[in-house]
Amino acid sequence: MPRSSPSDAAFRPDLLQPEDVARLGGIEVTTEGVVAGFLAGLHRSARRGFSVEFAEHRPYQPGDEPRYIDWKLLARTDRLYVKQFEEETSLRAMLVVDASASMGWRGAPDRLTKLDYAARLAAALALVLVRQHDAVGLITFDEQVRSMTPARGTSAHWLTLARALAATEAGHATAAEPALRQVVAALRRRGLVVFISDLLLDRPLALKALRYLRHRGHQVLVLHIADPAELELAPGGETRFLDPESSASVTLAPGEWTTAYRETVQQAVRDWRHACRAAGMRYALVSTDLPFGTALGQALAR
Amino acid sequence: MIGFTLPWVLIGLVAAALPLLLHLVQHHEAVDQLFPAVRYLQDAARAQQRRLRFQHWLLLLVRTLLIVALVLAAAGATWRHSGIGPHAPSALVLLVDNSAPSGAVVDGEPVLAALVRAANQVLDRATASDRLWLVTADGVVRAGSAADLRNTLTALHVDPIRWDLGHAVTAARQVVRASGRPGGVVVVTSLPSSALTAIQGSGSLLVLHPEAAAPANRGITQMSAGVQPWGPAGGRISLNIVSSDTAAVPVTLAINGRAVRELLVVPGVNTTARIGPLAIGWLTITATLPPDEFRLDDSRSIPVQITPPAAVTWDPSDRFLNAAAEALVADGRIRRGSGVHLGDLGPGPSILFPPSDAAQIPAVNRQLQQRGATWRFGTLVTGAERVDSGAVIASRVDVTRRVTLEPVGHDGDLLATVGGAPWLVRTGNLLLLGSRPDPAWTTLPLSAEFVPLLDAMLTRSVRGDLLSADVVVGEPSAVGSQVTTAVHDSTALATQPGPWTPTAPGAWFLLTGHDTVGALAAHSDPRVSNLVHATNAQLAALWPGSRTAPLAGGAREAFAFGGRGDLRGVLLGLALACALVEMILTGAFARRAAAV
Repeated sequence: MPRSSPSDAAFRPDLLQPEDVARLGGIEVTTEGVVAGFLAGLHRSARRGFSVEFAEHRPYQPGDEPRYIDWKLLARTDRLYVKQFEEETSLRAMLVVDASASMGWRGAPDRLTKLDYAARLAAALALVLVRQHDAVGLITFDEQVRSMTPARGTSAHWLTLARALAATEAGHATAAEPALRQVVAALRRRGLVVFISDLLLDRPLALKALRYLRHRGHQVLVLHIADPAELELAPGGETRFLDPESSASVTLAPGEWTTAYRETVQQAVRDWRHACRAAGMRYALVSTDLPFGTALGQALAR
Repeated sequence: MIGFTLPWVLIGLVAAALPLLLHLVQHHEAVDQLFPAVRYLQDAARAQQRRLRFQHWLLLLVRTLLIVALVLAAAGATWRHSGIGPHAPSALVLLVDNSAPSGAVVDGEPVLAALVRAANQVLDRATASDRLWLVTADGVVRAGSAADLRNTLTALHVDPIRWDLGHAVTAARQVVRASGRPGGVVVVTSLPSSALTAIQGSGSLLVLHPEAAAPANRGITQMSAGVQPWGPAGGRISLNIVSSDTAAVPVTLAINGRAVRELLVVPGVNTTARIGPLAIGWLTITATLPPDEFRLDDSRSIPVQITPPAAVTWDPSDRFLNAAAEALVADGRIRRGSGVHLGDLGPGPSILFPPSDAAQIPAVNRQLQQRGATWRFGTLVTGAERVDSGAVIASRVDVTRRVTLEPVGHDGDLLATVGGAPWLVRTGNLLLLGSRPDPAWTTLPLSAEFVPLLDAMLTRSVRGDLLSADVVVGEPSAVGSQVTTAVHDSTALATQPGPWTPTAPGAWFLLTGHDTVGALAAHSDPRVSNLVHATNAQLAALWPGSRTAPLAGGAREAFAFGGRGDLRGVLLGLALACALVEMILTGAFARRAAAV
């Protein structure tokens, strides 16, 4: 399927439509484990007591330390707020986006390419993180690292990320390992790695790199981007399917392979899910026909 | 071995390649499409390739088989084994022997009834796609449906003739061969050995015949009135009979239906009986045996003409002529008178010899011309010659001198020739002999032939009457162009110029207008009296390759031409099964492929 051209309205610098942004309002990114960061709040810091400068209030969430509840504010407003301090906003997230050739594909003209969808998803996630005052960076890759934006937590940084995402075009083959090694260099403290890819790559190598990240203490979220046409083979006549990243091809009548293909895809998804779970990573399959907010909500739901 | 009714349809077998071609074309015309998840397709293909390949080849096989079955069915496939399905569309010639022997009665039932019943059973096994012909003893080949032929069989009666079955089978095989179909000949017959002759050609031949032995039979095989016409004094009847045993058989002789005499006849021995005196005119003499199981040859009739002796004038000085005439007078065959002139030209019937003096020939010719004769004497020819043959001269007679006989018109009969030249001719009531009855001219007066010849010339030839002849029923006979009607008992049949065939045994009187000009004694072929069935050895020798079966139940063999069965039903069933299997498989595969 053709990839949308850069001139499309979908590639506006802000990437996200207002309604998409509105859907992100209830989403917060939290980490399950301990991460190192400068801001306390959603994420427990591994480094306590470096700074006690009050930063802001935020609504209490289950799991927050009771000692950070602002009792005075509770007395005035009857609502639970916790105080956040500068030294506790410590989450550093790195968005690793696959920009290989396979990501430039879409199964129907009225859908986004996987790369476009991944860019919007990454932008949305970055927006959520920035709103949480988390630092977020971006790495795009195909067979090599295409771009790298260091993690920062300012609002202006989101625009930088959005522009970088908008400028990303589908490249060539996929090799996730170099990009993930780059993450290790970029995230010196433990943080969050969001790996956004169609996972049409060398699975053992990618898993090895992801496990290494996990070993280094990073939280890893794998977002498996898939076009609905990849999940369910549409019936049709005899077709020669060509891999956009290699010379591989296969000729068959899709109508005869619907079930077999579906089972194969489901097995691949199961394999990824099991492998991620076994390594302490989170995995979510995201179909490109889902709204970003919905997809992100499902992906980040505990 | 598979055979085909329409082998040219087999060209349609090329259509069997269509599924394979379509399969290849589909692969050849695959549409290219970018698809990132090719690895999943490859994985699925690796896992399912064997199953899908099996499905493809299974469907390909079923579809090819479907087309092949349809084409083979359209080509009218047949199989050597007869047990598969109904018989193939066939050509069958059914010969039903209703000839004279079928008139015998066995166990109280006419043989013909049993033959017709068996023939109907054969027709019951015919299908609408068969081509059928029925041939009976009359030799007519009747084509029609089974129902048509059954109607013909219903009206079938005994034909009192002998049927040459070998000839009939040979002709029937030609009919089958001309039809271009697989087929054969079925003969339903009592299988008398006398009817069996050698056959020609090839092909299936089934003989359905009774198992019971032929009944004992006695029959008159020969009856003759000798030289006719008889005189009023009467004449002699000779007859012979055939019998299954040697005991003498009583025979009753009747004249015009009135019994006049009984005699015992020993089978195989020629027996004569004198009958007379008789009144002038035509009469019918009938010999009858005691009835047996085969009535057709138990009675035989012959017509006899009784005429007064011819009144003859002759030259007593002619020594040889006078001696012969006197002998005839003494025998009562002629009398002296002026009715017939023997040796010279009289005012009425005359028998002329050439004048001894050749110089008188022109005068004689002028007299002949005045009488309107269409023959005249020519020139004298000498030399050793011999009479070839003739209607009135049976033996060869040497001729040393003769006067040629020259036609001067188109009428007249040629009765005898010498060296191919006319020697005895008839013109009107005149007989002209080319040689004088003198040993210097011919050895005729010295031969035993002379007196009978003279008798025949004086009593029959010069009168112009037809001879009374024995003829066989069903065989054509020359009766003369002047005959207009043939009368048998009270039945009168108009005759046409040319050969005429009597249809029933007995005396047939031939009429020109209202005048009786002759008579025929029609009788069945004496061979039909032999009812004995042909033996297997005879059958094998004369009809090689034939199959035999009893009348009862033998019909089921009728369409087993070389044991061939019709495969069309089986093939169409196979095609239907293939179509069903194809639909089921396609549906099942599609459901499996699309199953959620």
